[in-house]
Amino acid sequence: MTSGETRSLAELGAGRRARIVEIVASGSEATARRLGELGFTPGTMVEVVRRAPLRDPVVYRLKDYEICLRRAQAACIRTAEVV
Amino acid sequence: MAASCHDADSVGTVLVGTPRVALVGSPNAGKTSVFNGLTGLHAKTGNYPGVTVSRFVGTCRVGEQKYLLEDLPGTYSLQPISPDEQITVDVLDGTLDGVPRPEALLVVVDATTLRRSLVLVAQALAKALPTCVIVTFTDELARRQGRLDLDRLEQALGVPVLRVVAHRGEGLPQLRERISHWATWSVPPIAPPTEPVELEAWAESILAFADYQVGEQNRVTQRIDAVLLHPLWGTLVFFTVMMLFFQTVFTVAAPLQGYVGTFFGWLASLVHQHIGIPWLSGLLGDAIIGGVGGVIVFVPQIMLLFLLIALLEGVGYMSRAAFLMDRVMARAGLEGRAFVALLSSVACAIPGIMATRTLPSAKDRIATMMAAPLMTCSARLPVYVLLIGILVNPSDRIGPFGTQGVIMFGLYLLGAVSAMLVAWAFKKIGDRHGLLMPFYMEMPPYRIPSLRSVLLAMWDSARSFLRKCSTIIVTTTVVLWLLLNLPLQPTSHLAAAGVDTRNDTAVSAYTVEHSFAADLGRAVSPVFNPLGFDWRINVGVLSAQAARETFVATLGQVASAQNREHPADALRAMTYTDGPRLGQKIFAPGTIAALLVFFVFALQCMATVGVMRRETGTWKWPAIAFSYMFVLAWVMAFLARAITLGLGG
Amino acid sequence: MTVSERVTTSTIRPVVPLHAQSCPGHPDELRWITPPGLLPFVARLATAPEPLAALIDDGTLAEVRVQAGAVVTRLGAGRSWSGEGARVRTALHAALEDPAGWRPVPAGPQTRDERIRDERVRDEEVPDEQIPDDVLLRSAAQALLDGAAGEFARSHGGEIELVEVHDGVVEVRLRGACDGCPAARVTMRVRLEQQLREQVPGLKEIREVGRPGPRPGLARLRTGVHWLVSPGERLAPVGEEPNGPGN
Repeated sequence: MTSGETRSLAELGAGRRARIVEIVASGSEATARRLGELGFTPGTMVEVVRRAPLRDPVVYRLKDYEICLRRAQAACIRTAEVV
Repeated sequence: MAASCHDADSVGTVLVGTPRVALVGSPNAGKTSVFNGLTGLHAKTGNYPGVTVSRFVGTCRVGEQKYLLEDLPGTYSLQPISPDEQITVDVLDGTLDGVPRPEALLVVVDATTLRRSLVLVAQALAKALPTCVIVTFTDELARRQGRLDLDRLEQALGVPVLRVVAHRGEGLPQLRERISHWATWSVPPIAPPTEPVELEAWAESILAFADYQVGEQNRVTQRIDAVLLHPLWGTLVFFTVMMLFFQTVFTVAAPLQGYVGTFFGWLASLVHQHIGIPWLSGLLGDAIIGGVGGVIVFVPQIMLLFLLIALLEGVGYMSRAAFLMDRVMARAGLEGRAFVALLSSVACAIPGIMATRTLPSAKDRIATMMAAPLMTCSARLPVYVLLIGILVNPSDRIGPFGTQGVIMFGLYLLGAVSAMLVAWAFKKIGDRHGLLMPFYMEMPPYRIPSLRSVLLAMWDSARSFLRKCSTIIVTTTVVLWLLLNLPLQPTSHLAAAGVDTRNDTAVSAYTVEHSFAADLGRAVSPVFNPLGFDWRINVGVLSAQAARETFVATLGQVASAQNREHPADALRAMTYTDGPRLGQKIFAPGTIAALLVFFVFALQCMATVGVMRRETGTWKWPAIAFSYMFVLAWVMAFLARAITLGLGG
Repeated sequence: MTVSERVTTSTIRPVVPLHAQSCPGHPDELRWITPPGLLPFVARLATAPEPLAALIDDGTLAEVRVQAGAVVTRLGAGRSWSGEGARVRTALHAALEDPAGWRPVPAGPQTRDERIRDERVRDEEVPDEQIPDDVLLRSAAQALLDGAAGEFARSHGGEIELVEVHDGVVEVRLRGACDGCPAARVTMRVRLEQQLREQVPGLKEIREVGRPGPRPGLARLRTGVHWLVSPGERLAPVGEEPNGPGN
């Protein structure tokens, strides 16, 4: 299921599901912490629900709820895609 | 426990010994519905000392004992990453000046998002206050075939757990009963873990013990979102909703405002009829009654806008709208939610500025507040109509469009674009010191909002506006009336000047021309001459400080003295009475352009200033807004005039 | 029950769900709820993996007992949970990742007197033998049926009745809307069995016993159109009048 290859959540298209590997928020410990508190923790399953008409932000589904993030935040989340 | 006798923002005088209970919870968890259910009309809105964060405090009575309830701002975490969030933590720790630490804590969690919400519960338990967990939306959980054993949850957490379905009032009596026993609430044997991995293990263990099943996803929400967030249909629906939102204000609020205006006009005329002394009847009727009327006239609009906002927010559509608009708003450094505030400002900046409360970032709130008055508000319309009417014939055309309409549209566009640029500028300045907040926004399921909460939001908006803004608006109206109507002209004086003393219009025109306001108008001529304004326009601009539409009335006073039937013609014919342009027409294209553009940019509405003061808790920001807009207005007006003259106008 | 996975780029290590509850009447003890079946025995602990053993050695913990779905820890003298709780938890997390490293005190039969003297038997502790006490089982099952599991059935217009308990087998009878309803079976099995097994791990099975005889309205059930029975309408045994709909 997990390969050595991880992709950021921002790279995943609509309808894809992935398991979070780690959060890397270069330079912003606050962002990394807040993402964790929102449920983006290693091991959690995330589903990409939809993108906005102008491509940003994107709605994700995790831990029984839906939340949208901008690309800048989604790029902090490294995932391994679940087939 | 120290309890101060005087809250910093005068939200309420605290009785020493009244137990304080704070509510925490994430946005969309139903926390405010619980708060409203407990406090009802016994709640007041204010600000936390020195910041733009709204503060909601109310009282709840259980038997003989009164409790002070504080609805802390909705948050996903008690580890703050912004000054706003720091406020909540400071209140819970008792480190905020003027805000005593609460005795007990109610943590409100949504049963359908329990998996995520337990993080906040863990952080709340770490505060070592007597805590009770309130689980909401259990009805929704049941509908989705979900499960939750509340008794087991209570056993697992070690604190009391209560079920409340606020919109049905279920669980509220039990909650009140529990609150009265706050001192005996059980506490967990050890604090929950703080390390993220252990915390997640803790949460999963609790959920398993409580036999938690979240059930199916909310089908209705999914189906609706497939349309409302569709790139094409969603955008169409969005613009339709926004237009309706907007139109409703005009079609519903406007007549109501008309009634208010008529009522106060009737009151004023009563005063004029029954009080013989002209200056007294004028002071009472026009200044004071007019001033009060000038406050009340905003109320229908504010209440209606807040009703619509509360409905959209309660249903859950607001986050969808913000989602669609976020990219556009991000260009100005703002976020999707700022769109609603700016859109509301097209009707009137006052509810728009009040609507900035929904923005989580203080910098966003300030930037949006600074930009909101630039959106073309409905008070500017009479001015635009008058001036465009002088400038351009109704029959003039540019291509297939009427020139008048094109110019009007252009002015609206100028306002909107300027607003975005100004917001961007303020955001840039504000962000200089780093601390860029991450953007995230929950998309809650569509729900039927609690009617009670919606009505309370509406009522609360009107009440806080009236409490905080009436003074400044009435004061401005009275002051301006005095400036325009003093010194009083005795009859002999009038007769000597050749004025027909039985002609009220002529008398008032003469009074205005020789009033203190006129002196002021002449005194500031050097500032406004380059724009082509003469002292009479200056007086009109000055009177517009009370409210923009009075510009028309003031000019009309002057003009109708000269041509009662067609004041517009009189205005057209007005010429400079002194100075370098002696004899030339005042309302030449260059001047009209300058005047129009001046009105686009200048902050001329003291009500707006008042609301800014109320929302920010300080005079600093309204002062900044007033100054920058004045400078901007002057410069742009000058440019407009220059360009128009250059184009051979 | 799933265990949370902590995924790093190099290894996947399972992290055991764990939370602590107080033990009423014993403030020096904490019951840590673990996934059922993680530890294969129920007894006092003799040896434990390193982090936990260290706490026993240095006196932080006086005793560790394993129960079904839980580990009970008792503080050493002069210690407090506010001081030691976090350390114990971290140690437990680490220790539970190695269930094989947990060794029980060798089982020997406890005399009845010993058991009675040890007051905890009444409410929590499970005897070392694997044969469950039917009395214990009956009271636990009745408590559950009076409580959560029964509540669930009642909320669907049905009722679960405890018939008999013998040799670790619990016999129940379903009545009302539950009767014949496939979902009820699943519900009953999962909830009742899981919770009962937590308390009394020696539970063999929960068995549904037959209906007491033909009843009016049963014909409706036999045709399979059981939805004609409205929720809340209870089917009465032969000889009684059926209650009206809506109880």
